[in-house]
Amino acid sequence: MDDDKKKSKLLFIALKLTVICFAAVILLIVVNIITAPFIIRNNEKVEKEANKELMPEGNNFIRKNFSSLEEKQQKKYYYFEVQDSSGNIIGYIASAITNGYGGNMKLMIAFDKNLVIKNLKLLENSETPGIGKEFEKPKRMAIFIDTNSESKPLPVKKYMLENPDSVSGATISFNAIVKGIQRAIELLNNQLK
Amino acid sequence: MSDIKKSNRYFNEFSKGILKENPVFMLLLGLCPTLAVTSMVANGIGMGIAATFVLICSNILISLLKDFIPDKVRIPAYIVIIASFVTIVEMLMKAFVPFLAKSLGIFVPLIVVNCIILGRAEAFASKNSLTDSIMDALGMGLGFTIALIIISFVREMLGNCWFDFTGYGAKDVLTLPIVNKETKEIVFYILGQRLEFYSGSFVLISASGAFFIIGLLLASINAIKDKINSKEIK
Repeated sequence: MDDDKKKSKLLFIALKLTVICFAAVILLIVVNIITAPFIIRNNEKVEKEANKELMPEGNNFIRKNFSSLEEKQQKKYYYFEVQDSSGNIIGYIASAITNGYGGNMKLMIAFDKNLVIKNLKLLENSETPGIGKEFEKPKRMAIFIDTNSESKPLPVKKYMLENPDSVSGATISFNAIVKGIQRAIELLNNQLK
Repeated sequence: MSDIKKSNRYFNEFSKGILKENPVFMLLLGLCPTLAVTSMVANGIGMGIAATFVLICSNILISLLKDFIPDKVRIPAYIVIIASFVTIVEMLMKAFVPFLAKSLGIFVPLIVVNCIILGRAEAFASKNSLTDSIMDALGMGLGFTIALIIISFVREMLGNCWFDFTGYGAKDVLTLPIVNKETKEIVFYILGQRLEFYSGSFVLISASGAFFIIGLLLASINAIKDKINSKEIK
């Protein structure tokens, strides 16, 4: 009898906690519905600014999907065809989401027509300030610029860098960025074949 | 008479968080976000408003639900309530003040574990009436915001020689009248000779500078407190 009482008491407590959680979920859904369009608009604005910063000589940035990917993956990986003022393709900017130390990291990588990396930028991320977040600085990202060519391959491991100590403490973020770049190159290669 | 007593009580609940029980300067609570975000006054204001919003909303809800929330699971229940409001603040920031969301970064979600908020929920809102809880949250939130603004004001002024409000829509950074607007340096001319006096100190903007400034401010406050106490004893 006592056991039954205990069980029903516990059940009652669990039920109350569930009600609180359920109410919280409903509230979050409502706020998300209201704020989502604004957040999407802000993200698009950031992306536009990043495009212009990565390839200032570009005049027209046309967003395209990788045809080899499923619809769900196309939100994570896509690219922009960059055209100059006379409509000639001068390069590509790939967007990739990769998994860093603090969760998802969004990368924008600018390539020339031969897929040599010309510039790259780390956008949304939750990396540790002062360590992984340092990759937001162009100085840190400079280690990847002009790589992915025959004379200068992409540094996929720390030991391939001129100064491996420069990424010490941020190995997971470095590896995540490399993975994102590799995936973007692979997808662009397949797409442009 | 009872109305006067009531309003006095509300005023006491409100004012204690600003001075007597200031969460940062007196109780030394919430020091992690305080150290991290006070490199800019703009960040300090943003963080203060965000934490105050969460504090008021969670205090209201916890005070209303104090009889509904079972004692055995009160902490998980408080965390769910606080985390929900923090997520709401994060979404609102990302939607309407994206620069602040980017600038505060990981410290917005970390409001969930800010000991001021959980502390007020457990120590005050769960035991007091709705109006008292609101006044307590307002006072504590305002006290936290004032502390953040004071610390960030000192750090940004001494570290940069300017105040950056460009994220809030200001056209240019704000400088003190003695700072040269173009070079952002304090420059004096003595007998026609240009004498660069001060151009900011990076260490005060860095994390170690935060410890240094907070330490100095706490020492000053303690010295003032000691002086007042010794006067009262005399």
